[in-house]
This record gives sequence, C-alpha cells and structure tokens, in this order.
Amino acid sequence: VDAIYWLIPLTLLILLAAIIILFWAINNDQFLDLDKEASQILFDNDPMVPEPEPEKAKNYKTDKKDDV
Amino acid sequence: MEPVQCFHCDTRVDDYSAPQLLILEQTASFCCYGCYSIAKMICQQNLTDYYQFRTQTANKAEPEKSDEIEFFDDPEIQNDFLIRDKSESNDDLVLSSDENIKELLLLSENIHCSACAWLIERALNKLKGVKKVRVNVSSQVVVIAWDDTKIALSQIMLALQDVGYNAILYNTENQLKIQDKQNKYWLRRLALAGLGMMQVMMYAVALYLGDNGSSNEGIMSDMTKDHTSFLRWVSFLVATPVLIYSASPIFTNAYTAIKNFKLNMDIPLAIALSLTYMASVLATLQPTVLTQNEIAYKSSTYTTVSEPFFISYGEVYFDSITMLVFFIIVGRYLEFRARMKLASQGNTRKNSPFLLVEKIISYQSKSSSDAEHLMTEKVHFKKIERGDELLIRAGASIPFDGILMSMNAQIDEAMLNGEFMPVEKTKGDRLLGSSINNEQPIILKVSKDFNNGYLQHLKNLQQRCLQQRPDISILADKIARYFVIFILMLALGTFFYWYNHDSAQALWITISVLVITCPCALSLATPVAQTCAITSLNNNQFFVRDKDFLQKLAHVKHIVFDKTGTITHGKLSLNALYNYTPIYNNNEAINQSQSILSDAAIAAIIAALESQSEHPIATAFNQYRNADWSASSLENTAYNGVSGIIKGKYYHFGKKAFIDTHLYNVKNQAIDSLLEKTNDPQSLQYLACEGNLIAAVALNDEVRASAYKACKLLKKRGIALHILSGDPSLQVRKTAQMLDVAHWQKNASPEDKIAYVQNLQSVQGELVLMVGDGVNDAPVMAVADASVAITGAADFTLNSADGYLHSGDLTLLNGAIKQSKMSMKIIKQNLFWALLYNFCVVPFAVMGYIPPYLAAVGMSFSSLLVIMNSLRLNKSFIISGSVSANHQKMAEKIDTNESTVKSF
Repeated sequence: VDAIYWLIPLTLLILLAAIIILFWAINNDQFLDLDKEASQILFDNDPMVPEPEPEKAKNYKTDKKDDV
Repeated sequence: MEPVQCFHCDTRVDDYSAPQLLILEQTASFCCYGCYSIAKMICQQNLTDYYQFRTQTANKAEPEKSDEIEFFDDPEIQNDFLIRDKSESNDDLVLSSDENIKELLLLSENIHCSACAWLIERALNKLKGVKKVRVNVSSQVVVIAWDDTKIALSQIMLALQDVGYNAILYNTENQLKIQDKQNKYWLRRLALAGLGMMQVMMYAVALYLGDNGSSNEGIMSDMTKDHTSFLRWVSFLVATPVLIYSASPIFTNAYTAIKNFKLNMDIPLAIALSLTYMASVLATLQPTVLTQNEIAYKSSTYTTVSEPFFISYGEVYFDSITMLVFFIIVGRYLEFRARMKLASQGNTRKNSPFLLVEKIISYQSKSSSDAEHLMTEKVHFKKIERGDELLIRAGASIPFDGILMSMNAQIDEAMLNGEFMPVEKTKGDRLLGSSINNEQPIILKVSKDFNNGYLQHLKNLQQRCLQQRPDISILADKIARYFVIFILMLALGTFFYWYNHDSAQALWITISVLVITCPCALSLATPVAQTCAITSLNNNQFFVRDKDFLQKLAHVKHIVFDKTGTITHGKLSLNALYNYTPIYNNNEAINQSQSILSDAAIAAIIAALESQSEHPIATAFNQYRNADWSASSLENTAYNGVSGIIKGKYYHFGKKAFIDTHLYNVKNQAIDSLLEKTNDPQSLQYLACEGNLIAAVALNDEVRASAYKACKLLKKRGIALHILSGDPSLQVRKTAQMLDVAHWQKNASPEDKIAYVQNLQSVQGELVLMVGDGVNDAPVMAVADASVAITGAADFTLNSADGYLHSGDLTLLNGAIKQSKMSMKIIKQNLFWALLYNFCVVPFAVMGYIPPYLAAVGMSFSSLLVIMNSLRLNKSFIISGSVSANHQKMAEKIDTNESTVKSF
C-alpha cells in the first residue's frame, strides 16, 4: 500500500491528540497566567523545599545612616 | 552625585529617618519606615531574589490599621467571598472536602510582575495552615486556601502586608471568572488555528510542488491524480474545524454588523473566508486534476493567451483560509489581553471602606453628640436603611448622603467638588456620600439610600453624557467600508466579464480575486498597531481601555484638567511660612523673652505638635519631623487646634480663633500689620508660644512636580490647556498662573464643566481630552472626546475614563500623545502597504494569472510586514518626565551643599 495513505492519516491522529492535550491544558488553567510562568525559571529555589530558619539569614544587617 | 532612591519603591529618599540595610551586597536606603520593614522582612525570609528579578518596582508602603483586617475573620463576611464549589477551581487539594479548609481570592493592586508572585507564594507557603497559594499576575489575584483551625485569615493578610501587599477580599462572582472564561475561549481558538494552519500548510506545500496543472515543466509534476485528490481531502478535514471553531468570532461579529446595517472589517473577512472555503470544497469534490494529455488538449482548443490552465477546474485554498484565521485570531487575542489588563486595574480600586458601616443601636448616655458612649454594630452597607444612624470614625469615608447629628464636623469633599480645604459642618447640615470625615467621630442620619444620593445624581448625569458623546469614526473602519464595496464590485465585474467570455472559468477567477484581495493585511493593519501601542503604554503605567482612544488622542486640540488631585496631589502641604520671631527682637516696645527660631525649627515644632494626629493638616508636616523637637502633654481641641509643651515652653497651633484665646500678651502691632499684608489671613494656621504669636503658615495643595514640564511640553505641541475646578478658592487662579495656563474657571459644578467642554467641542469643533480624578469629573469625562483618570481616582470616575494614568506622572500624557501620533503613522503605513499590495496584484488576479501558492505567499508576507511594522511601536516609547526633573532638583540641592562645604 502507498505509504501516503496510512502515514497522513497517522499525522491526523497525532494532530488530534495534540489538540486534545492542548485543550485539556487550557481548560485546566495551565495558561491562566502567561506573565508569571514565563520567568518562573529565573527563581532557582523550589518553593516546596523547607526554608532555613530566618535567624540564619546573613545577607542583611542594619546600621544607622548618617551621610550620603 | 546621584540622588538616592528608595531601594524598595524607587521614590526619592527625602530624609534618612529609616535605617539602611545591606541587600544583595549593596547599601539600600529607604524612603520611609514602611518600605524599610518590608525589605527587612523580605531579607529575613531569605527572599532577596525578589529584588534581583523583579521587572517593576514595588509600590510605596502604606500603613493600614490591623484592626480593620480582623473583620475579615468574621465567618459571615467571609461567606460572601468563599469559593464553595471547589471542583471548579480544578486543584489537587486533597483535603478539599474538609469543612475547615477555606478558599478565597485576594486582590492586591501591588502585584506587578512574576517576582511579586514568587515572593507572595514563598512568604505565604511558610505559614502553618496555609494549604495553597497561587498568584495570578495578569489579574493581580491571589488564590488562597487555608485551614481555619490553624490560622486566621487576618494573619495571612498581615503576612501579605509584611512583604508589601495590601489585599482585599475579592468576590468570586466578579469579572475574574468571565475574564478567565474569555481567556480560555481565545486560547482554544488560537491553539486550533495554529495547529491546523501548520498542518494544512504541510499538505499545501506538497500540492504546490506536485501541482501538475500550473506549469508543464512543474517541479515535481509526477504527482498522481489520486494523491492530489487525497491531499485535498485531508486539507479539507483539517481546515473545516479551524473555520467553524476558530473563526466563529469573525462570523458572529459580521452577522451582528449586518443585522444592524453596519459595515465593519469582519464582513469582508467573513465573505472572503466563506466564499474561498466553498470554492475549495467544490474543487475538492470534483475530479479535478488533469493529465498532461488533457492539458495539451485544452490548450489547443483555446486560442486566447490569457487563458491559464490551472484555474480551469478549480484550486483549493485551504492553506490561505487557515493562515488567515490564525493571523486574525492572534491579533484578536493580543487585543483581548490588553483590554484585560485595564479591566483588572479598574477592579483593584478599593471599595472596602463601604463594606461595613457602624450602625448605632442604642445610646448609653443621652447626649447624642458623645460618640464614645454608643453601642454600635458593624453592618454590611446593603442592610442600611433610610433613617438609620451611623457612627463615622475620624478618617473614614461617609457611605451615604445624610444629616449630621453631631454638633460639628470637618469634612473633606475634595473627591466630590475639588475643594481642597476641609469644610466645616454643623448639626443639621447635609453630608454627601463618599466625602471623608477628617476629625472626631460623628453621627450621621442616613437620609437617602445608596442608590439615590448625590453620587447617583452624578451617575445619571454620566450616563446621559455617555449617550451624547460624539462618535469618532475609525479610520480603518472607514477604509474597510469603501474596501468592501470596492471588492464586491470588482468581484462582480470580474465574474460578469468572464461569464461572457468563458463561463466555465468565471467562478474560479472570481474566487481567486477574492483570495488575492484577501483583506488580511488590511484587517491586521489597525488592530495590531493599536495593540502594540496600548501595550507599550501599559508598560509605562498608562492604562488604555478603549482602543479608539489612541486615534482620538492623536487629534486632541484641547486638554481640560481638573485641579485638585489631578494637577495637584490632592493633599495639603506647607506653602509659605511667616516667621515672626525676629520681630520680637527688633521691637523694643515688647519685652517678652522670645528667642529667634529658624523656619526649619518652626516647622519641626508644628510637626511635633501634630505628631499624634492623622488630620490632613498634620500629615502636611510629617516630613518636617525632627528628633530634636518633641512635644509632651499634647492636647487636641477638636476642630480648632493642638497645644503641647516643647522644651519647657507651651505652644499652641491652630486656627486664628483658637490662637486668639491663647494670646494673653499685648497685641503686637508689627505682626498685625504684617498679617494684613498676606492675602488671605483666614486660611492661615497660626503658632503661638507662651502667649506670643510667633508664626503663621499657609497650607496649599501642592502642584505635582510633573505638571510644569507636562504643561510646557503639551503647549509646545500646540495644544490649548484649560483648568476647570470645583474649588471656589483663589487657588485655582494661582495654579493656572504658575503653570501658565491661559484658560481657567473656578467653582465649576459638574454641569458647568459639561457646558464648558461642549462649548469647546461645538464652537471650535475640535477634540477635547479631559483629565480628572474626582467623582464630580465623571460626567464631564463622559462628554469629552477622550478622557484620562489619574491615580487615586474614584471607582466610578474610572468607569467613564478611556485611560488611567496610574503613576500620576502628567508628562506621560505628552508621551501618550506622541505615541498615539506614532501609532497613527504606523497604521497609515500599514494601510498604505495593504492597499498598494492589493492594487498591484488585483489586475493579475482579474486576468487569472495568480496561482494559489503565490496568493498564500503574498498574503502571509504582507501580513508579516504589517505585524513587524507595528512591533516598532513597542520600542519607540521612552518615558520622559518628572523622575528626571526630580533628579535634577535633588542634584542641585546636593551641589549647593557641596559648595558650602568647599568654602570652609
């Protein structure tokens, strides 16, 4: 059988699957916020990882300001 | 030297009262204690990534009383907001059936970028009992689920405040759901059109290459008839859902336009799409492809050279159809996103002060003016009826029109009529809804319900004006109208010509004309350019609601400003200080011991006296607070003034009448004569020390720093400026003179303003832009051709505004006009190109020389060109304005400091 007659219907099936998956994703709020997720990758810390105690945070200190 | 800006919110640091922090290896200064504590909290929680990755600066911290937040713990109040149908939120919340787990939406105006979302999610996830946090940046909403037994909602909201986000509860039935639905609506259509387009294009390429009809020496002309037919059927299968599903908005729009006897851009699109589709279907149905022999036969039977073969038996245009639909839907989706952005801005205006009111149930003591001994109950404002008595606390806004039952009141009506000085009211006076009670709790007897007050009167006026609003016809629609007619005539003409010469081909050539003239580029020309311009304005905190606004803005000849809150900040600040202390030393007739004080010291003394108060006058002195001067035994005499002891001396500060009662020393002639020279002695506030009048201060509503530059720039553009204010004071003229604005009118009622603007429109026939903020501006904004609301504008004012100037930087107006002119230019270029392209190819199409692949290439090329050209708008907009002016001012200040240092 000519390959075209079963390969092209196959692409149609794959297309159908892609559309179904995409619609599923859209309906499940995957594309709800296009602004946030775009830069999510920049924040390397995973929010689910337990935090170090706040007391251990070392990158701040207070000092009185006198001049500029 | 660079001026120092607040690390957190980027406002200029005026004083260094707040300590500094070391963040991300740099010293961070803060404008106020609020910002400092937010930054400290962020550091403590190890969330400094926020500062590293944020793309927009945070809002300045604003203090909010925490006792207000505790109301939200009331289950009854929460009830209105809870998300009950948890299945709808589609989340993997395991314990969602648990009664104690509650879920609702919080809305915060301060959410700007994804760094904000990250910060909130991190900060709240740390709290025990919080089950879920999800932030949506586009709609500025936090979805939160928590265990009510472990944590109270107010604690969550406080934690949110700690990192700089003041939030309010958000009703789920609100716009968000609709927006969410629409977003999905467009995304699904976009997804299908995109996938379908790519797929059909693939089949189309095969058809182009194997097209043995178009030329005898075809690239790969050995494609069999069966294969061609098969590919056409497959293309048909994919293109059909794209047309039916993705293009449905185009068809519905066209249908409604036809139903209303209007022509819009969607009609030629719908006609082109449906005709092309039907022609392609016909071509697919019939046994099309000719063999070489048939072609040879055909060509021999016809003698005319202009006879193309390929058209003879129809072609399929499924690729053009899907591509057209995809481009259109992309444009529409971008448009929708820009609109959504402004809608969410409108939502976030706070309406919480109206949520709960304090209804008086019983009086414990009989004296009705004594607000301290009242039994009150917090009631939702909807439950209030006419005749109910309400307790209005100091600083709270008045929810309904009513009669004042207390002896005195001082009311800020700036929002209603633009009067910047508080108004004194006595018992029995009428108070207007949405004005603000400045001092002392008062009792209000509700006289009119919420729907029937002064505010409602303005609303009705606004409604009427909106109907009268002059309609501006949109350039693209105008062109579209002519274009539709032109194309239809052309297609008809072509059809009749070919019908007479060769009836078999008439239909196919007509179709090819319609495809070639496919109004894709034309229909993209305007919306894409508009969307780009609107997005770039949005990014500069200038939100545009109405896309026609840009076109109007480009032709504006008059700008009418409101004064209070628009040109000015809408809050009092120190304007002039008359220091009388030197007189005491020069004049020997008076022998009171009165040391000379500097102006700064006097301001500091007043600031110390007012340090306990939240009154607008007190806040004007906040910035002069100095640790060297602190007051003790402060005493506040309601509606009159304050007194207290500073450095062992007894000071009084307040109105003339109040001070007069405390002047027990001999009247000072020198001072009296000086006082008479100041133009409005009644509006002054006085300071007395140990019975001597030592200073007077004039308070003023300060003009925005950006106003000067904005006025200059706008005038340079040849735009006439006007100031219309409801303020009856001389201040209006002064402001107009300061800004060199020639036309001004004070004491203007909303009706006066409407008449003024309508006069400009009718007499001069030119477009008027109204810029305002108060509710009294809402009707006139509806009547003006274009309108801009400025930051802090009332909800209802925002409703009639086309644009919203969120940053309050007036120079952005000039930028927006520049941008709108630029976008008009680009729209014209786009239209020119689209029309030029059409006029060049239409003759060939009419003669039947254009094969389908050329039609598709031409169409996508011109569409891309139009989109690329429009994208230039994203880059062209550069903020010019007050920030740099501030820098300059600050730099000058520092320069003078340095030079004094050098001279030593």
